[in-house]
Amino acid sequence: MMEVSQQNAKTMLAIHGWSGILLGALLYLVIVTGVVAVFAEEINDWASPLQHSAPHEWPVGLDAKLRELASTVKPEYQEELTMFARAGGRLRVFFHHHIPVEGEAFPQEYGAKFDLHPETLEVLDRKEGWGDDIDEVDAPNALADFLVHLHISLHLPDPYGFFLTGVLGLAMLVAAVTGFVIHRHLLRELFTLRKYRKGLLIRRDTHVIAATWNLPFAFVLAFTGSYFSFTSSVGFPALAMVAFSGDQVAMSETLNGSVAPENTAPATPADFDRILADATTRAGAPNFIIVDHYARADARVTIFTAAQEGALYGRSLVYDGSSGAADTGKTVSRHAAVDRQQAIVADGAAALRRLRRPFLQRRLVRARICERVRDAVRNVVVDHAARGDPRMATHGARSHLPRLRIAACARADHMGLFHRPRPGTCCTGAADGGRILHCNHRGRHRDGAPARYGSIAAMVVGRPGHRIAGCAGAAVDRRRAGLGRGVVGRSASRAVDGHGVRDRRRVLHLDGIAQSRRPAARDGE
Amino acid sequence: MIALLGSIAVTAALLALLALHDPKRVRTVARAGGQRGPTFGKPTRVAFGTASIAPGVLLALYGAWPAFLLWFGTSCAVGWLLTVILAPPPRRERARRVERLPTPHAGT
Repeated sequence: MMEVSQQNAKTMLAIHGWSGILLGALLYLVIVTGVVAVFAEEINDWASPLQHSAPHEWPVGLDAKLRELASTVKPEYQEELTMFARAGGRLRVFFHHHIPVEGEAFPQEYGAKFDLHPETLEVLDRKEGWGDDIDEVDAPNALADFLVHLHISLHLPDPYGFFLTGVLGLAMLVAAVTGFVIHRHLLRELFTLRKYRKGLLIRRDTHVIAATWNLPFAFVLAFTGSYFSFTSSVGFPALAMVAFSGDQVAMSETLNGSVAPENTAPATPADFDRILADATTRAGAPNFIIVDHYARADARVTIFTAAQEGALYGRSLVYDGSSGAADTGKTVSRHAAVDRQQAIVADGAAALRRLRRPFLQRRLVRARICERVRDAVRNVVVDHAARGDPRMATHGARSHLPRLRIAACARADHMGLFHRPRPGTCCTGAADGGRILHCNHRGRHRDGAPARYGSIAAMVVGRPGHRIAGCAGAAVDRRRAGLGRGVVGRSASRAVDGHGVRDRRRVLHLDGIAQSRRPAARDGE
Repeated sequence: MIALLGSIAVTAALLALLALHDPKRVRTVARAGGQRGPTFGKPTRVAFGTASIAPGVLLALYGAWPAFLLWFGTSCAVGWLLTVILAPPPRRERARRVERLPTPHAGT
């Protein structure tokens, strides 16, 4: 299939084998539970059925019931109200407020939870406490919750479970890629299974045939698995660190629209039944509802609907909670913004508990959020550039905007996680004669200082006529070629002509071995 | 739904034809003691292979992504099943079958 040298094939075979051996058992567990967890909703309905229930429908009369329940809870719990269906069609209604907790990125929910019968609206269960604690003793949903959490985090504490499942996904991706490369007759042997041969060969053929036919899905599963795991546990916190100085609440507000001005004046809540009917007419049956500031003038209702037939995504609708009017603007209340982002993005376990169904749609909602993150970060960069921030590498940033490759942003001390400028583009302040103003050496770089060789994570490239700051590739080649201090700091007008640094050999050649052995080369002076 | 089932049927039929006339599989069957059937040439295989993917491409172009994913998964499973079903049987089973055959002197 693909021509590789014998040595490379051996290496890849070893990688292929070890990635399977070391993590195969856990990976198998994740995949098997994932298959079962697709039916989490059905499993819950089967495990905890209700008599005479009409599952997953929003009953008429909910408005009156909400008013009644609201009168029985503490006023502060009306800060936010979430509603969604649980096992057997039970309606979960959770009045709560948010309390900052030390060590947690987001304020935690504390309030009163009611489980309502979907037909009679009778209160089946009432609990008060922390949202996570309530979920942990949620008996009707225990079985599916167990499976889902085993699948997404192996029941390890956050965020370590996500890290591990992300690594498992990457291992599977490595196994898939190396398997694809080392198997030379992938298409030719697509239908060949030699059952009549001896044991080892039969097992080899069985393995290859199963893997070959499942290769496309193996790629998809491995990539999406690691993507979702790392998005929750690494990507969003890191993005918040980069663009919002670690303030995940601020990031979530940015992602979810501008924050509405608060109006604490009491107001009669809008007819909830009418809002639900309108949302159903517009976009189908709701599956998750957030009400902010219930019974206040700035109340706002956000309704997420299930995907329609043939569609991948559901829709989200926003209503004024006091007048019941559909809100077409992007303004959301502060807690809705935080809660939505928190629910969907950052706090994966809590999100999966709350956004219970449908399972697939929940994941797709996350994907949509990712798009919004990209847009938000892009806006931040543009904003910095527009303000003429002297530390902003406008040239590099702009040139990388479409790919979210922010070259150097004043707030991007940790941009090294994401930043990969392309050769020929400049991530340094052009106004400063090629001196690096700010780059992505994992925060080690001093503003205004020339580039310095160190643990350079990404290529940092000067423009023609400027200096080469450093190059990860060159550093690798330096070791391979047995060079001294690498190519850092050399005057590189010839090398950086738009494509020089990508070509490692050329860089080495132009910078020269003798020069790069200079001890002072690291300072670039 | 009909489009999905139709696309799966078309793909499955083409994959079955490809599998039945796959040169390497046919050669393997012959080596295992079976009958050597006719095989497709490379142009035919390429044409059939392309045609077997076409329903999925059409679904994707039409924007029916859920149907596309279902087609994709089912086609892979069908291909794997065909390979397993059409593979020549293991030795023991083959030997047993040979034993069941009447010998030339049987009944005389």
